[in-house]
Amino acid sequence: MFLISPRRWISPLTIIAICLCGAVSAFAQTLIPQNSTWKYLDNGTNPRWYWLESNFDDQSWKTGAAQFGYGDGDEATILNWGRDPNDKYISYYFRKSFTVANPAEIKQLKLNLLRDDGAVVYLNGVEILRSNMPGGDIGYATAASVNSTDENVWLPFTLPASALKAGTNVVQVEIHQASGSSSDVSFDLSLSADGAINPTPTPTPTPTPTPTPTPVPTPTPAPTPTPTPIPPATNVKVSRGPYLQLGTTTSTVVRWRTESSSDSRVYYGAESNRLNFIAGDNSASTEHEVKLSNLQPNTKYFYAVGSSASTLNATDPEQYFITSPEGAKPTRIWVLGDAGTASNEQYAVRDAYYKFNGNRYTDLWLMLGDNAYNNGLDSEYQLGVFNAYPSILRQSPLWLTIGNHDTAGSNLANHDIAYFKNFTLPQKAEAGGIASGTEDYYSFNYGNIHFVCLDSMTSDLKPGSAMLTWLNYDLAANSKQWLIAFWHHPPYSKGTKDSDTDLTSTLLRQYALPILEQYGVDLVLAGHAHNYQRSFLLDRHYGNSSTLSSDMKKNAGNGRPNENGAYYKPTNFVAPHEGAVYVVAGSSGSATNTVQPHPAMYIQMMKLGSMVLDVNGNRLDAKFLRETGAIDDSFTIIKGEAPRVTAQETRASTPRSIKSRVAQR
Amino acid sequence: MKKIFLTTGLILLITIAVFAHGELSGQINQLTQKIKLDEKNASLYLQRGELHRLNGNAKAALEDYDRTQKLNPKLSEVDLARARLFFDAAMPELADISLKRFLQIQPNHTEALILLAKTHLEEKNIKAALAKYDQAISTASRLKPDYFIARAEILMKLKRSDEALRGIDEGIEKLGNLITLQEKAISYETNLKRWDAALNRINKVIEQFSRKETWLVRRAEILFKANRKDEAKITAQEALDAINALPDHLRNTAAMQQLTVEAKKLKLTTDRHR
Repeated sequence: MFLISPRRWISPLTIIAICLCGAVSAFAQTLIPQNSTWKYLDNGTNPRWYWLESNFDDQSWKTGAAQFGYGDGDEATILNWGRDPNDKYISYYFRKSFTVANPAEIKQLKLNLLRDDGAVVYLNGVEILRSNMPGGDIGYATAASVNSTDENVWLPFTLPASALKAGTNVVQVEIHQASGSSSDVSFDLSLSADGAINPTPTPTPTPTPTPTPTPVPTPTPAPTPTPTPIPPATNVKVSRGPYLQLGTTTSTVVRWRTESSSDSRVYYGAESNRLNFIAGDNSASTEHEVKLSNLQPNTKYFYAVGSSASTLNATDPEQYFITSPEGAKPTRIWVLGDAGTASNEQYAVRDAYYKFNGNRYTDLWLMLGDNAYNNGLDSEYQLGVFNAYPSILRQSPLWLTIGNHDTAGSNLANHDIAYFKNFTLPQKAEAGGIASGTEDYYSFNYGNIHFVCLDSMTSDLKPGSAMLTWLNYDLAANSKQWLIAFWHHPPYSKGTKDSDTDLTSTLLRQYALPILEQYGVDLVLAGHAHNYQRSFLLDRHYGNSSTLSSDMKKNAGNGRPNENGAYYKPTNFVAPHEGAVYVVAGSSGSATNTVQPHPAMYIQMMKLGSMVLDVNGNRLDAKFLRETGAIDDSFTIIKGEAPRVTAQETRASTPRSIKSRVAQR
Repeated sequence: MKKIFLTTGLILLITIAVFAHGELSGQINQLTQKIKLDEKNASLYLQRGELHRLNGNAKAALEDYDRTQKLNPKLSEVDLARARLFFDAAMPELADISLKRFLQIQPNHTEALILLAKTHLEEKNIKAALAKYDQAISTASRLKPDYFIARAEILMKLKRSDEALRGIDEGIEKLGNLITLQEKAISYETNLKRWDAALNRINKVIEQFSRKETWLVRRAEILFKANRKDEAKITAQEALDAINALPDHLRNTAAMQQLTVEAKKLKLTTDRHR
């Protein structure tokens, strides 16, 4: 596999130079870090063209630290928007100086831009980048071409260094709103230089294989889009995907299947019509798996898949992903259990989520096992997963656990089954946590959340087993604010699936739950029972249902802020034994298992649906979204502060007419 | 006699499976409809047999497996299905027969090899179990730390500790410096009073992880047991320093408080023994 990526761009010329010349000392230098101090103009006046002049005196401009803006709550410097909230200032201007000793040593610039709505960036008065802005001349009153919703996303650009000069350089940026009534505006920028110093000539050219020619990035020649330097589309048919796996802060894995064999290429970049990076694999296959590395955290990348000879879906504006953030970020998670029935029920649950979610990016999604019925065959995965969720598969990384139907009922892991062949899951702590050494069970981080996936189907659940030993150490090393665990068999369930008599459920309760609660688990998600069941805020309930005592309910309310209050956990990080909510959400493909009252459960229902989780700082909101679009249950966990009921929550839709908390359809 | 044994086993299987998987009757009915339209399709019977097995209906499962084999004697998976059923029903001798038949066709099938190893353990045939773990580890397309641990446990029971540790190290070589494998090896080395070897392993773990406090306490414990009191005291203090250097929210967890108590206790004890 070769890789050419934003962080370590190596052009073919550079590779040839390395081969021909021997030692080249490469370096990377930060010129403008994130959160830098800038001079800025936010008084609604028109600076005309003077502000782009090299000798422009910006002493009269204000000084402030990025991030600039208003309306999002994450600004270090609030920008002034005028007096009329319906007619705010359209344009804001920024200047920042830096020095370069020897521009000849700098081969290219790496620029990361956070902008809402549109931006034009100049280096020493020369336009180098335009984003979400129309073509032609840009004036003081020119509106951005797009009302941006990605104000929290860093967009990466690689640019030539030709506009640099020795000594003082100036980056100038103008930010434009799409309209005067826009609710927010954002700006931050970082700039770094990649270079090579003093190549030493040597007389031994090495005939190494030349990688596929890589397009050299050019400055954005706005207004016309850069011609996409990728091969033309052909009629090669994609029979599966593309789909995203193993998303981290700096990498993601793109997989797809084609009907005929070829090498693999992923073309990607910051804009859908500028896919100016390539990663690939030269071996011929119908199963394609390409890792994109050295990406920027919390950054949006568009991509197309194909081969060295052709692309299969270039310039598709819906084909993108956003890398994981390094820190906390409002995070949406979609949770499906026992979904893969390839039935109208499954599609109804899916469509209800799509409608509910709208244009909001789903940061990640989970499958709780029994992902493809009946036996987890490849053909069943095609129908129950790949044909069922194509649009979200290509945008958001999917994390799964294994269920009894994924192994055809075998409780011994056969790694040749479709589950393991079709998915790329962490074994070496690629996405955080401690390495488990197996895809059967693993952990990963997303923002301020640590996720743990256990294998309740094929791994030993007894004390001292490899999985529980790993779990102990993994959780001991966790420093994230939230801990969410998921696996297939529910520790608490009553009805057709009864956790009092199920051996797996019993072992999980006895041996896995004490470890998880000791390390402060907040939410445990399981499937297996084809219904929905949700507990109170529980702690230390490790026996069967008859042993549940009132002191094991840390909060016996319903966890709803607008009713009898959110579940409140005193510590604003993972802390032992402050309570966890246990959910059975196994009705995303069918609702066929009856429920009977379990004293640990606040609510139980034999109804179709999926779960939507929103984690925002110290607050987690969970909803059970029915296939009808109704929200039949919700709860909130708040950490570290007394729960408050906001006006919005009071108005928010609440579960409709839940006459009985144990409902059969 | 064998018939009684079989019946008892099947009843046990039915009990376990009903609890484990509940009703699958809808899916079984669907397959029955398909079979009516395609009565000579062996794989449909195998699929239905598997559903019967999951549903705890061992008798129906075995009938479907038999039909499968009559229709297509080359469909070897039916033997693996039978083996799973017999193993779950605590009938290792029947599982053994089915697995050996299956492995003649697919000799390196990992699941079958592991299942046969477990079957041999049930049959108290330890050496045969060991051989099957060896074969599974040497031929598996994807390895799992559990295989190495299971094999090492057998070797330790046979008092072949060097081989057990070599087997764990083979896992570390193939899967990386996994905490699960090192933990097991450290416990073996400690039980064998091979203090330096245990300490070397702990040092490898400490190098690997940013959170070192747990392992520093562990090192102090081993040093204490090895009667190296001064080093134990220094290491216990290092552990306390590491814990104190943690941010508040990590330092104040119950686990860290417990570790602090242990480290302090070690320090005090070493003083007392000087």
